[in-house]
Amino acid sequence: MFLFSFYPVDRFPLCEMDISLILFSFSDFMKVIYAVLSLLFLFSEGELRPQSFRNNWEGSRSAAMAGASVAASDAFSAINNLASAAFMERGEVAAAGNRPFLIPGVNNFLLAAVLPAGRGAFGFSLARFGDRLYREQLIGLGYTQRLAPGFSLGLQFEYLRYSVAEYGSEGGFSFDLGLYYALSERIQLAAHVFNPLAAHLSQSATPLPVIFRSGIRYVSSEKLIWLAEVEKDLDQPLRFALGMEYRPLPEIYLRAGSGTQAATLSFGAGFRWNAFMLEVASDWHPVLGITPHAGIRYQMKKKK
Amino acid sequence: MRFLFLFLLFCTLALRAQEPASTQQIIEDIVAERDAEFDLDEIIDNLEIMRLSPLDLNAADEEELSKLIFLSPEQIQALINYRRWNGLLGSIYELKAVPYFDLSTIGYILPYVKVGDGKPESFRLSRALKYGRSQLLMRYRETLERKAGYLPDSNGESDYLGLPQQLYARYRYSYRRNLSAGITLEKDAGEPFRYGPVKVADFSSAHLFVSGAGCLEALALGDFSVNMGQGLLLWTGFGYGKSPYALSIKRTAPLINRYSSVNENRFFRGAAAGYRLGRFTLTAFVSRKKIDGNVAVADTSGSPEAFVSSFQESGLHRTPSQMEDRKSVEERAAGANISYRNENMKLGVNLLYFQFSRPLRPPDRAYNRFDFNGSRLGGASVHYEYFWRNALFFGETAMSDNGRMATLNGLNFRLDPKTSLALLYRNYDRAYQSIYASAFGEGGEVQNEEGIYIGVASEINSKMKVQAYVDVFRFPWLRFRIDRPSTGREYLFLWEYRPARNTDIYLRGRYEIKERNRSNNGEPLHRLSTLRRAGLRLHISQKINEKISLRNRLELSSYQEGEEKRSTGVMLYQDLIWHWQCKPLTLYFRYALFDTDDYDSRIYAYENDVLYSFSVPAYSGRGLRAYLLAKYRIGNGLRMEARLARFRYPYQDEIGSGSEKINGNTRTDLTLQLQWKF
Repeated sequence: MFLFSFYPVDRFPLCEMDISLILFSFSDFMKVIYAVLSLLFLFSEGELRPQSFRNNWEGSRSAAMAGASVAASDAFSAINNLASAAFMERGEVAAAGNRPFLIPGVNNFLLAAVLPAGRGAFGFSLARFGDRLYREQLIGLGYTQRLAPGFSLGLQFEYLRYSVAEYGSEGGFSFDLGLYYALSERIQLAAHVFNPLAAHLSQSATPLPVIFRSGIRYVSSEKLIWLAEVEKDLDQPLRFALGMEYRPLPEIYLRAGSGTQAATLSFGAGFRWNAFMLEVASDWHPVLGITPHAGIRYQMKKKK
Repeated sequence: MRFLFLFLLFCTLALRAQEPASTQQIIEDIVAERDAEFDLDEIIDNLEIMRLSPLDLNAADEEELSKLIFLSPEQIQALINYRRWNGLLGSIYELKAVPYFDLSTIGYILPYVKVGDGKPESFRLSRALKYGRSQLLMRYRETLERKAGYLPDSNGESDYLGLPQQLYARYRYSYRRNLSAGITLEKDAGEPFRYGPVKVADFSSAHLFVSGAGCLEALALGDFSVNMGQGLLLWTGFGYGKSPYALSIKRTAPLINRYSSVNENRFFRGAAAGYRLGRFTLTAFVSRKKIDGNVAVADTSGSPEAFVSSFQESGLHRTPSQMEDRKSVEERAAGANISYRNENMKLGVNLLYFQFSRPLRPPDRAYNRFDFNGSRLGGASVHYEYFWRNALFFGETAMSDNGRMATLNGLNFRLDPKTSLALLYRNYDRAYQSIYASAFGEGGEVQNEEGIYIGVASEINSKMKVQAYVDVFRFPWLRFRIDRPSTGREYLFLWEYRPARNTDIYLRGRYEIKERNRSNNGEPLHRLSTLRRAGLRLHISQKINEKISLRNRLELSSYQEGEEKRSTGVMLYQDLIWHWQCKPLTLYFRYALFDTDDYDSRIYAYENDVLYSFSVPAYSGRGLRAYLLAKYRIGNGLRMEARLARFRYPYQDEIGSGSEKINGNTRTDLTLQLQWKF
């Protein structure tokens, strides 16, 4: 799986761009990551992804890590990859929003929840993009089940709808599949496909995107977590994303990341306050500028 | 360490005893890793036979050991040498002391081997008839979408004469490795059942094969395959060339073998026998069968002469013109071999003669100026293998009846306990001629090629292994679509990493440079442009527990011709394999997404299929691929398998072209198979 991987044993990160292979084998982890980040940034084309239902709905946590989210376990897993939430011990509810490139009227809002139940968890998500003139919306409901120690599969159904003022609206159903596997305490792998059957909106035949993501979460230490993933939208070039979350104090999280295909650098921070986590993030596109994100997560009490 | 090994081995043994690992699963692991064209039929059969009557490691010779495809030529040679210097193996645990044998290899071969007394098994016909086993296999396969070839045109006729189902049936009676008799019937999709007095399948084959009966090395009646030396003269069985396994360059196979595959050309039909006299073995065969050829009539100097412009090798008889070519030429063949072997050395002399009922006269083109034409072809070759200290020398030199030569010489050399080297030089004359030859090389034919290959494999530590090869070659004469002598080279790098017992990771890069006609000019003699092809693959497979396995792959490809725009491709897949322990059911599921600019940057991927078949389709264009394969053991020797596989191209309105065209953006293949052992 898990196409973009770090091997803790050897500290042997490897990354490929284009066809030419770039293999790093420095022992100093940070140096490599710095090099990778800057290379990803240099080589990728500054391309936007302008089609329907390809929105910044990854949530305020992953937004700070270039969108790397497939192997992350938090409330936003409900939209990113529900299978990754199967081993969460506490339920989580989150709300987030962003305004791409500070353009009025193209806001994204997201409401997500993961509720552990039985041998897994339910996921619920509600997302919206746009304003009164043009709007895309998603409602998702899914369940993930633990099938073996460390292994889970998730299935989520979505209803998607877009409306254009004075032209009316159209909706359709889709689903997504996810998989999560904790290789060890430190390495977790995940894969997710959105709309695996390439469903269309029925009337207008507006294609819904097919997006396959595969990634890894590497817990370097209590203070540092890495997320890396590769994403293939059937209609878009391959995208790599790499993010890190650093926790200098128990209450503070600092995040950074970089991705290709819409080459961006992103930064963010999270502040824990009792059961709440307040998050801000911004990603920076060389041409289009800054996208600010903000969100809040609430962690429920552990079930007895 | 030793204790640990014994412990692990014991665990493996205990595990196997509990739940015998299915042969298919093991092979698929191996084949999936190699992504090469394998004749699974033969490999699986051989292994199934060995599972039922394990091979005695103390008695098996090189050919027999080579049926364990998990073993490299080096390992085989190492085992033989070990036996020679240290006497017979005392127990299975001693395998670890044999050079090159690692735990995973031993794990693979365990179900198929035993440590016996070293005496060859005696074969008695009465026992064979009493204790033999029968196997019946039936398979149905169909593309559910209608292809253009099946749809009637304005005259109410369709291109294809038959129905779109592919049907296959096989019966086999076998006793250990010694006796095999069987019938195979097959009809490809679109082929009619021939209408004669009775309905018959398009291809039918039968064989009776006896081996290892005293001095009778092999006896074959009906259909059989013949593999000589390194394949310069003749190799009708499966033979791999360059593979990611950089050291696997030497061919090893039994000279005469039973034939039960469905390739409609590459086999012989007649009789063959091999007889052992001390260190010598004499083998001879005769064959007569009809093959497909495009028959035309030339009227030169007033006397019309029927000739064949080309042999048809597809084995497909779907259209009226293919039907016309069907079995239009009679091929007669005879061959002989004398071989000598002692502990260090193997030597052989081969003779071969072909005769066709109609002469082959391909249209005169510059590139086929030196190809075989006429109705008779003879050839001879000598081959050798010599083992000296830690080096294995092997090779073959052949001559066709026009006096032209082809030669191949190789060396497997162990530099230190962790590193081995393979070297191979081949030089096939541009006018060397052969039929059913298949040897190491780039061009596919044993003709018009010279090249040097260097491969190296190194075990960095117990978890990591690196293999690489470089092959530099040239084609001294023109080739199809290459209007000048051309050159090329190929590089491969494979890095294998096994961080834990249940996790395998490999990274493979391949880069190839060749030359081909420049496309866009009107010159009669094209200039060549350089063609660069590169591929990079990252593969991770994981066994989560006894039940669930995952496989995941990212592959990138790139293709560039001259200075033209480069085309690239990307493919990602996720496999999930679910092997129920309590129910006799296994499910294989794949979801893949691919996006390649064109067919040139296509990406091949191995797919699981029903027993005895496998597929390595090209993923090209922009689309999705998914399949679900279910294998169910009903009991009483009955096994049912079903597979549903689908391509979906959301951005296309049609798939394929010509008679194979499908209107729509999906292609769905259904396969059902029933196997009964009794």
